[in-house]
Amino acid sequence: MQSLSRSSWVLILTMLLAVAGLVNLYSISKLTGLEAFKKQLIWVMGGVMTMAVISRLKPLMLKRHSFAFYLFLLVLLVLIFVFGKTVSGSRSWFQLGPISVQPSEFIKIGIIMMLANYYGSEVGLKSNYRSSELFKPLTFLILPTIAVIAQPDMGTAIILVLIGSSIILLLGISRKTLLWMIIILLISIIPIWHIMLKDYQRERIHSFLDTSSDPFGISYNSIQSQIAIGSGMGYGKGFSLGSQSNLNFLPAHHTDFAFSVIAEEWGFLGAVFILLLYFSIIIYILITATSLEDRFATITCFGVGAMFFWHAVINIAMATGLMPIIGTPLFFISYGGSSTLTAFIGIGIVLCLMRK
Amino acid sequence: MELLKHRFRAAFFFVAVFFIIFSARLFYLQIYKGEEYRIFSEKNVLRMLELPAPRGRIFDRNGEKILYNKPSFNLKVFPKEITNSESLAEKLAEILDIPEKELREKLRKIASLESFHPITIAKDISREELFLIEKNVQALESIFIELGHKRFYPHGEAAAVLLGYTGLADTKEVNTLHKINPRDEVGKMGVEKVFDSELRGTNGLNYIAVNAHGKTISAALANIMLTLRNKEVISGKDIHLTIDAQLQTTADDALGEEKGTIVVMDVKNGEILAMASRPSYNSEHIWKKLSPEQENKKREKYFSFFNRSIQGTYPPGSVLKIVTAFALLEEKTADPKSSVYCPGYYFINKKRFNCWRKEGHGFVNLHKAVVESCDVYFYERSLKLGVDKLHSYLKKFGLGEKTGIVLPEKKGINPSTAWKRKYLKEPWYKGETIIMAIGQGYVTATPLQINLMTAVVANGGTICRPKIRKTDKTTLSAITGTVKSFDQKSLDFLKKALYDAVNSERGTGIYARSKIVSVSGKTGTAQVVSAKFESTKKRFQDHAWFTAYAPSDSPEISVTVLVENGGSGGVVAAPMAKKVIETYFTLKKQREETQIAESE
Repeated sequence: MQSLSRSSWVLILTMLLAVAGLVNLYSISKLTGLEAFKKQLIWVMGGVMTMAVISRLKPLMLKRHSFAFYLFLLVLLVLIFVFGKTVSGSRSWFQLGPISVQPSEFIKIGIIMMLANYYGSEVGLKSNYRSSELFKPLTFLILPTIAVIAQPDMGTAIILVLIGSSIILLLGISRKTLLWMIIILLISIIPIWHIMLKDYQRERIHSFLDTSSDPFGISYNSIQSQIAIGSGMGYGKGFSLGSQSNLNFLPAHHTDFAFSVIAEEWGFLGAVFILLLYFSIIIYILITATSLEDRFATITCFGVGAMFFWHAVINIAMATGLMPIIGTPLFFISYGGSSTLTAFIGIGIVLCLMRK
Repeated sequence: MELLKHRFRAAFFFVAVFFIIFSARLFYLQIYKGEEYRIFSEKNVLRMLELPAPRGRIFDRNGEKILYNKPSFNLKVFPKEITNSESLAEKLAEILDIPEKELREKLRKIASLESFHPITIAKDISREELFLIEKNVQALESIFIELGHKRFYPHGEAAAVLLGYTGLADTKEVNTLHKINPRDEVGKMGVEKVFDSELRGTNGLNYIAVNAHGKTISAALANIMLTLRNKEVISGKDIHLTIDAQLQTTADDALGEEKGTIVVMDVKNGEILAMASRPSYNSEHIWKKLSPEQENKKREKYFSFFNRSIQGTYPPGSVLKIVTAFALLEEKTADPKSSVYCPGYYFINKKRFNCWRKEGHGFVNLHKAVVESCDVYFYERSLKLGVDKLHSYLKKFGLGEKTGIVLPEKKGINPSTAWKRKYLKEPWYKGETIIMAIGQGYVTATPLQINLMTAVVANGGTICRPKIRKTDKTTLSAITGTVKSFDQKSLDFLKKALYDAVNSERGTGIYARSKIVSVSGKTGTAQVVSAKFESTKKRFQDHAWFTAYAPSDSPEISVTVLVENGGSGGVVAAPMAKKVIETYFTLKKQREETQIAESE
């Protein structure tokens, strides 16, 4: 193990996951055609190149441009309400010729760098921030989150909040402030629920919280996913032989439920192997974060780790029926240009910060 | 930095815990329960069925069902289960009364849908079709029969316009209404729409597993799916209306083939007893969804959703003289004892205004002017009154204002100098005042407003708020509405005049006279185009009005009849009102007798 550097390991794991994702997409192409596979292949190649470029940058450059990067994405998120494209009820995409881009994916990186920039610029080794010092980081987090909620894209909004709070909690909050925040949150729920939300928005949240209240989709999809995973048994049904996924009973099998396809076709062994790859990357990223000297670098690295972690947790919990369904991709495994590119950018940043 | 290291350690722990949880979950699903899932996935298909909730029933004031549900069988298909839409279309074409080509196209479209929810192929199939499908269910993959509820209107067209109809929710309704899905049935018109949130129930949900032959095997599923939750159907709430079904039918019959409306209201509490509007429509056609050509054909001849009693605004003609006369009395512009000579015409600035009676009425006082409906009297006296005074009295009687009924209504026009300046940007002319006094010109009203106006005279000064829903049955329904100060002497004067309009020798409403009950009323014949333009064409004929209340001495109901282009109000509308009034009192007597008989 010592013979290979840590960055080589991260690179190897990343490429293994990307290849697994492509193989998986290919295995269900019988039904949907090779379209998705080809597109994803192009995105992966573009992602690898982007990752390579970012990893060669000077770490200082990342820090210097984090604000501009964040602001640029925030403006895109606002512009989406003017020029955006609506897909299945959410206005989240920009159509640029043949490709569609989802800025809400990239803002994850933007938030991480912006928060790292804020905490990294602090003089001294401060920890346990007071409420007045939390105003700025919370604003950096809340502004894009509001834009994403308005799209509306609850899944991404939740991920944003999870990533942001992970960083804020890592740096710590004074006990008094934490108490106050909980109280304010609880009090504000009632007026927001009754005054700000429209009936149908409340309805969406209802069905989001209670799987049985939405007859269309949630429980049904979750059950289909569990049948797919369970029927994979120990060794799986074999490449391209997943009956649930290939007969199209598994919904969104190439995006949100791509993990279920792997579990059906490659069984417990395959599923745990992917799980192992995934969590190894996360652990490597976190180890890297602790080893870095610069505060900005540490926090950025931790943020990227948190981003991978929360995506994995929500996606896999949803596929295995441990959680209601939130449309969240599993990086590298799920089909999707913007999320794949975001994942490669994240790894590129980690590789860049490792270099010293 | 020590603190940060400490927190990183917590993060590592957190990550490890989740890795273990997920591995364990996968172990449970794939190894421990794997065998069961494998068997299930190889042999069965999971279906999610929505069980449609029946809408609430609608009752009339006597507890008679006027709108309820009958079972209907709908043929549905699961898009994702279709493997060969061509052969399915072929097989179905042998059973259903739909051309194979149409079915082929429909099924091809359905099969391409990325939907897990069943789509309807045919609604309300016949018993024969149902039998044939059940018999061939093994050959017809992906198909199932849904037990639905179809709305049944026992009185057909008589109440269709009032009750309205339902249809599939559109995008706007899905976004604005509470708890609605795109495939849900919602009220689109009339009572069905107004009380939709109560009438609509909550659909149930059923997960079933079927094997390759379309046979249900639910036990196998329940075993492996502990989290599976079915949902009970919750029926919609019943609604009780103030409508009397028998009176409604009578009113509808009375209109016959004419275009028009009849409104009957309880003058004491504003309960609407009947609200008939013609032309109506056959709700069966809406349910079955006629093709556009068929629908157009129907509409041409006899097809309307339009509730003329509240959405139609008409020049009120002479029925408005009730208000004008009241205004003249109150403002002391007309001494009841003084007279005006009517030669059959009247001149303002060399412009001639005719009385409806060309030969004139001779000397006319206010009483006679109402009874015989003399126009010249009102021309002369209203000039002194002025348009803005008249406007304020019209307003007092509720004209030009919404009545507050729960159904969608128009409010008509109650003109004034300010109104004309605002909307027409022109000054008011004297000639416009005098024709407004006899209900012509800019003034328009809905038949319900005219009914309320009549009820004010009958009940002694209360503008009722019309109700179509029976509220709490145990408490006595009190008058709701605005009690305004009406001079009782003036009202008594009007009551006498309205009685004589029906019951005296020369009254205009003699065709409403009844042997069963005393009737008071006022006729109206509203010009559609100017009198100079004589035409025999039906659509240029006058609107016939008659508004009345009965019994004359202690009024119970007010009845308003409007017949579009019907001609003379006294000849066409008054007999219709009479028929409805007589039916009301005959029914009342019969019901009292049976009640006595039952209690003895």
